[in-house]
Amino acid sequence: MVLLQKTLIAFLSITTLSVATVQAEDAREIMRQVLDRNDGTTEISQTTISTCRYTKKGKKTVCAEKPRVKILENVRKDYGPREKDHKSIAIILSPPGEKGIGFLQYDYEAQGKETDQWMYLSALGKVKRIISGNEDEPKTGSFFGSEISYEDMEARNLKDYTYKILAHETYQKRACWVIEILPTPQRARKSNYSKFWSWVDKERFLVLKEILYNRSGKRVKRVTMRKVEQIDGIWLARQSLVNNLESRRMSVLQTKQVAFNIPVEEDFLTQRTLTDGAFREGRLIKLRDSLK
Amino acid sequence: MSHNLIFSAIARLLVLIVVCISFSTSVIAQNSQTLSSLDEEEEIDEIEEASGLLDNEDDEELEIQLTEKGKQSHQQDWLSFLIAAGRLSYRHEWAYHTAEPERIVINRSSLRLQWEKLLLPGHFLLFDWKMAYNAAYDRLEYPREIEQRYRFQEQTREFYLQSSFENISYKLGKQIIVWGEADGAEVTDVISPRDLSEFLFIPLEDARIGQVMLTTEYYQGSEQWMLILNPDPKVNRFARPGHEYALPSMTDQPGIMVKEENKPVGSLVNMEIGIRWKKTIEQSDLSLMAADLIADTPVYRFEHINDQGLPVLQPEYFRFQMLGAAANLTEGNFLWKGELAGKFRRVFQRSDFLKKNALIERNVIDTALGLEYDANGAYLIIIEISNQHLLNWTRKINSFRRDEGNLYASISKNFLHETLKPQYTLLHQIQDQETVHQFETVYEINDQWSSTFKGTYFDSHQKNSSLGFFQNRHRISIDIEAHF
Repeated sequence: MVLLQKTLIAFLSITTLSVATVQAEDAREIMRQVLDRNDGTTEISQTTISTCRYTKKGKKTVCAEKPRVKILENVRKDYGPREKDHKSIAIILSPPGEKGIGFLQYDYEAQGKETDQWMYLSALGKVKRIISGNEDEPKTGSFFGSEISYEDMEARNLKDYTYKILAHETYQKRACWVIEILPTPQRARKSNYSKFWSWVDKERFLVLKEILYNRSGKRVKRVTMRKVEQIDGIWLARQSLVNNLESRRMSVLQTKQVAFNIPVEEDFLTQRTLTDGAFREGRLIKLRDSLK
Repeated sequence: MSHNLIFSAIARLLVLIVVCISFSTSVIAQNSQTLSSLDEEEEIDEIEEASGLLDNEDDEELEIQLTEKGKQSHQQDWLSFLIAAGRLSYRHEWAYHTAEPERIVINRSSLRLQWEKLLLPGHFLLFDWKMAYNAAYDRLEYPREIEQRYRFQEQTREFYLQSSFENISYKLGKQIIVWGEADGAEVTDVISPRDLSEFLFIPLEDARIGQVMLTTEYYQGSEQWMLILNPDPKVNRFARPGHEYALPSMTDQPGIMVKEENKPVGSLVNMEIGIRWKKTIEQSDLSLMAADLIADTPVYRFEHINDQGLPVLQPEYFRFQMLGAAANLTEGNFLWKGELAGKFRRVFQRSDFLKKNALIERNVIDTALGLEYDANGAYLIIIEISNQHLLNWTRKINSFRRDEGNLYASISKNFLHETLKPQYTLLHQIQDQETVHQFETVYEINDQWSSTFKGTYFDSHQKNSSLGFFQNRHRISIDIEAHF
């Protein structure tokens, strides 16, 4: 989905990349290239998030429960000179009990400017502004009960971390840098993580894998990117696997259909889209034609 | 009567079909997930990871299971496909009164069909219908009229056509409009009447009554204008005398004859008009509202003394006007919200109502101020205080105090990966010093099925207080709900 694809730094937003190359093997410069990727000015997508708790069954590992599946339709548009402000809308298509719930979100690059969020619930019958949370404290809770936390969804700021190249290795048949990312003391106070190890594709500046460490220094999550494709000139990992090594639960975020740089009119990313079915569906029909 | 029996038979049959379908799809899905397998994950250390020895085979295999599940969810949802853009919901509610007389008061199955579709570019149809059968009436002794009215019920919640063009949108048909920011008070939320036939116990989605209206909305940037024309106003729905939750009313008073309600009929004379302007300003949303409406609750007007010497009262609904404002503001973990409304020419009954001209007009100021605190996803607290103030109040006004204040508070926290959602809610009446405590927990069994447990306790000791009627109506309830 837009929110995820754009803002999940490790899981999603790093999945796209610029065609530019980096000459110097400087860890910070590599990560700058990763973060400043070209991810399109707009994005329309349909995303599935599947989550299950897994267990050992003999020598095999299987889902220990019926997976929970959310399907969302997302539209995102970037704003500002650096295209670092985002407006996005997400509508739940499935499960049926949550069908039609809509979220509208405005994210701003400017420090101190809080995210605006609204939600529409048909049972409530109105658009409700919701609290985006205090950015000075670690966020708890997960996105739709998946293994993707709200912190995972936040865009990472280059200056909030220090970087070091640990190794060069081949991963998924791609030459990669293994980069250690440590939060600055100021950032560490607000984060649930104490360290990240990222496998960055040397050619495409795409994070293919990331290991996340909790505040105690214990490995807590493994994120893996799969099915990398170039769509509308932009690299995208169609699947993001988030394995919580502590809770032994895994989420797979799958971009089923996506299109980039399709014109999205300004008024689509407003509260009107949450409540005006004729307006929303009329516009979405046109946008869906572009999906790949 | 035979009509009722046919409906109830259809309702039971539909419930049975839905339950069977649900269980069969669940079993198919459950079996298929055990077919896939994968290698056990190797324990690795950081050095191995850095050396590229991290084995992700487990992730890949689980990925197959989870993405296959995603496909299955699409493919097996054939029932949804059959009803096109629809959603079918089944719910069974079971409620038990824990105070004397202890008994099951609700044993109700309901089916709800919601269907929405873009018919032509810019034209959208929505249909929301529900039918319910309460088997509690099979066992309990109620007046025949009550049994007939409440055993089987069906209603169309909303049914409208919406057409959108550029900056403007029209909605014509039965619809529900909710204004304002408050969760626990009615300040500016005056358009759609409420179903109060089960007091606090009514499910949220059934709490409002749809009305046939024409709504026009105009959008310009972050501004939104709404104009409502309602030629067929409805009023609040109360339980009829003899029902479990029938509130005391004039009809209970001995020596008084109350005529049938003079409910407003659809006509241009009874047209309700509402207008709202709404704008988003930085971290805040601001609304200004004005409306000319018919009150949702009746006032009893003395008519005459009948042949038997009894005074005859006529329940009537009088017109009033409202000017209101609502706003919210987010700041860090907090969401502040407030509402203010002036309601003009509200009609009240005098204490000496058995006289001609025993009605009295007063203006009312309604206010609500609240805040929500979200502990960065850990838990959510809502506190809201509201007050209704009658200007130029006099003791001669029957059943209304100068001030009527309420405190509403709730705390909720999610567990088990947001599948277990307990919530405690408190509603405190300030003047009477009486409180309703409610604990509710929802458990999402899977993507289709969920269950809810609810316990409600009325801390009320005064017979004639606003909660007095409910002091022996503590209850526990369990709901099970499925969506297809």
